[in-house]
Amino acid sequence: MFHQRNIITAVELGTSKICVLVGEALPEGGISVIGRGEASSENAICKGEISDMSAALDILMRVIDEADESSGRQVNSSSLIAVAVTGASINSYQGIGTVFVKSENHRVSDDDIDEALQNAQVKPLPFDQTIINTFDSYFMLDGCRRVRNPSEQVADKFEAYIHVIHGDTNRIENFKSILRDAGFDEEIIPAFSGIASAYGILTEEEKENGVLLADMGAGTTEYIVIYNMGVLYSGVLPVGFDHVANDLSIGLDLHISTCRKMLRDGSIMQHIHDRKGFVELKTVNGNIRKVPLSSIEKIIDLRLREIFQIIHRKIKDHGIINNLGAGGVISGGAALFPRTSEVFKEVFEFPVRIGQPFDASGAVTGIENPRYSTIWGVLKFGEELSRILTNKEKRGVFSRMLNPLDNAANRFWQGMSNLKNSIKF
Amino acid sequence: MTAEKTKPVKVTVVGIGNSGVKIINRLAGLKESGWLNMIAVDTDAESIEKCGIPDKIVADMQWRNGIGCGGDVIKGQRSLGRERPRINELLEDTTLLIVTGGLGGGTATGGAPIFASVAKSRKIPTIFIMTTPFTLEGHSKRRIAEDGVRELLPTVDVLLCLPNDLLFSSLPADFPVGDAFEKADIEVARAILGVSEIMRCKNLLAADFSDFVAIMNKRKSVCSIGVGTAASSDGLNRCHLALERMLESPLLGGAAQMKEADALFLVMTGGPDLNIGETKMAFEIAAKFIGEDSKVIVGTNTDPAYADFVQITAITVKFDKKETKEDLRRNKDFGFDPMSSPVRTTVNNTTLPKDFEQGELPLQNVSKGIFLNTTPVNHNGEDLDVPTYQRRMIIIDKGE
Repeated sequence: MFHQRNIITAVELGTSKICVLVGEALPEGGISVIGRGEASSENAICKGEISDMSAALDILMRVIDEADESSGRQVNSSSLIAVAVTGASINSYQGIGTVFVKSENHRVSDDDIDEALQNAQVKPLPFDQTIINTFDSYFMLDGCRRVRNPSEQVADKFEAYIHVIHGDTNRIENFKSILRDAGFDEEIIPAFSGIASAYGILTEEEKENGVLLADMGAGTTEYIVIYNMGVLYSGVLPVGFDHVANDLSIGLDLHISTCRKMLRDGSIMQHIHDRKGFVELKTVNGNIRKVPLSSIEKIIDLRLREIFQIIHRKIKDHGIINNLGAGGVISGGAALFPRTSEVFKEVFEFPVRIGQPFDASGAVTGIENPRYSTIWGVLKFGEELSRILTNKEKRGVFSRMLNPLDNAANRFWQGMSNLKNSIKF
Repeated sequence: MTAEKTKPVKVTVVGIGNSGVKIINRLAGLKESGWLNMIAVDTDAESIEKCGIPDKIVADMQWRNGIGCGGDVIKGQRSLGRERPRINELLEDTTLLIVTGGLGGGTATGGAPIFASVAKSRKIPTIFIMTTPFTLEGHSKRRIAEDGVRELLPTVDVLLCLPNDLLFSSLPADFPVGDAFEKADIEVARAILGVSEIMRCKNLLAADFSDFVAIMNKRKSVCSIGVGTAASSDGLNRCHLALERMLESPLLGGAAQMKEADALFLVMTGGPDLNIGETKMAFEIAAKFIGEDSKVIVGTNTDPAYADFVQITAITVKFDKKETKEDLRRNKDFGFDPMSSPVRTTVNNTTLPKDFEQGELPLQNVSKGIFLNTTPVNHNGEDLDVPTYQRRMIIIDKGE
């Protein structure tokens, strides 16, 4: 029996690493990782944005080749390519669409929901902004009942609250164009890194009870609040773990590579554990330099605390600080540094766990690491999307993939414009 | 947690140049100097040969062939510079380095900064006890010595300059020349011994090196050393005698120096037989010579080598009233001294002298490191690329 394999390729252009995962969507559900490629970004990407296109392309080509090889030359047959996008330009807003239920029995029909969702998206964006992803937040029936799915409910009117993530058109286009340069002719689906990480590592229970996910990479920190299966808030702070290394480098007159190494190899924590007062470092002329551990801790703590405090303030201003019943999840490369989760916990005063891909299966192993949260999430996101597109299957409450209507260049979606309206919880 | 090991005190005394070697030789002859690690260094093989101690280096034998520098500072600097690895080896686990020599000569003036820099790179505290040339040697030598001092000052912890003229000031005119020079060397040797005692004063009355450095580094200062010793055989009241000799010591410059000193170190070393009564009396008598405003740091130590006799060392420090070290640094930064520069307000004088260029305020410079050329991230008016501690004005200890 001829069986068409459903291959999905996920690409992440991160500040520290460029990574490609190739997965196969299994007919019975789930995704199996069949190939992987990874390389250091080598300064081609800065704060989540591509600063050197040609250098990034070189690395990306290498990485794709590696992934292609490890997956058994399957990349070219990908049915869907998803890329994680992030950067300072990304922002979000909450859209509201109101619909009066006109049917006789006042039961909310699917058409009503579609209408409400479309209404919610009409908020005009500045012409240089483009919508990346849209997610349901919640529905409000008759202005007082808050439900996850209004379908078949009896109501006079209801509002759809949706979370729209948008970014600078040109900067987002960069991510797509570099993939096109790399040889992908297919439609390239952007996914906001924060959303992707949420897809990758959050459990159903956390999404239900309310969770704050902070994904701290080298260049940026994405944060997203999910409550009752809906996205309430998301954003990106272009400050990442490289800033910690940079602070150390400036504050202690050390080379940036020394600082990065120090943060990565766990020597600081080892020193704290050993109750040493200083870290001994070899200088260029072979002498030993003693750097007080207290200074290192102070610099790191101040920076991490500041990052989390900024996020804390934003969430507090948004009035959703009490919607975080399941606590916080920290992910990304910075989560490997033990102090990060501790500071996160201290600032927010809630339980914090380190998030990493937990349900990855397939030939490629070793992605159970906070570093791969985003790329794994992008893959899962791609799988979910592809399933919706191919099967028109109604599944998963956290699966609403609405798409930018105003993106006229998006021929993929043009053909699917009806489909958009058919996606349901 | 493992117990911290403290290194045993190892004081290395280096005699550099012709006069330095002679002083070391004298020092080796004193039985109290047994605990010191002594090294003689010279470019002149002949002077080294006369020296009786085991650790000696003829510097740069390959190039100089054991012939001295002939008063050429550059040659001295080169020769000792080539010996850097050996010096590094010799200073292994040294806790305090004392360097002595006569400034004005080639080897000592050129070579002393080499020792200073090696010690600095190994983080060894240093005391340089250098003699400055006699007035009768002429002004050229004096100038060389002054240049040497200027070169040494930034790298050493403590620099004591002993004017040779002082050494002979207390001797009668008909004193034999040979004896006079011998006495001068012994005086310096004793001074070294006295200073090195500070390092050991940890067990009884504590006055240690950090006190010493703290005082010395505070301001530009002038200091003098007086050492007096007396044996039990000298008479009943040996402490009194030692004190008297200390006051008479030529390097101290008379009892008036003690009275005028801003800070004073008084260290008493004796054998195991040193008793509390003597100590008390000696310090009480000494107190009469000390001015009311001076800061006094007193230390006592015992050593079997000092059996039957006592040694009293006084180091007087007189701060330069005009400028502190901080002032010196600030003046350099600003390029002018706001207090002392006369304010000229002539309008037609358009070309202001260099002194009047506006200096920069010595503020902490704000830096972005690797994020210098990236899109800035502003949040509440703060640039998040700048380290948090800099924005919060928190001082970071960089270590050493």
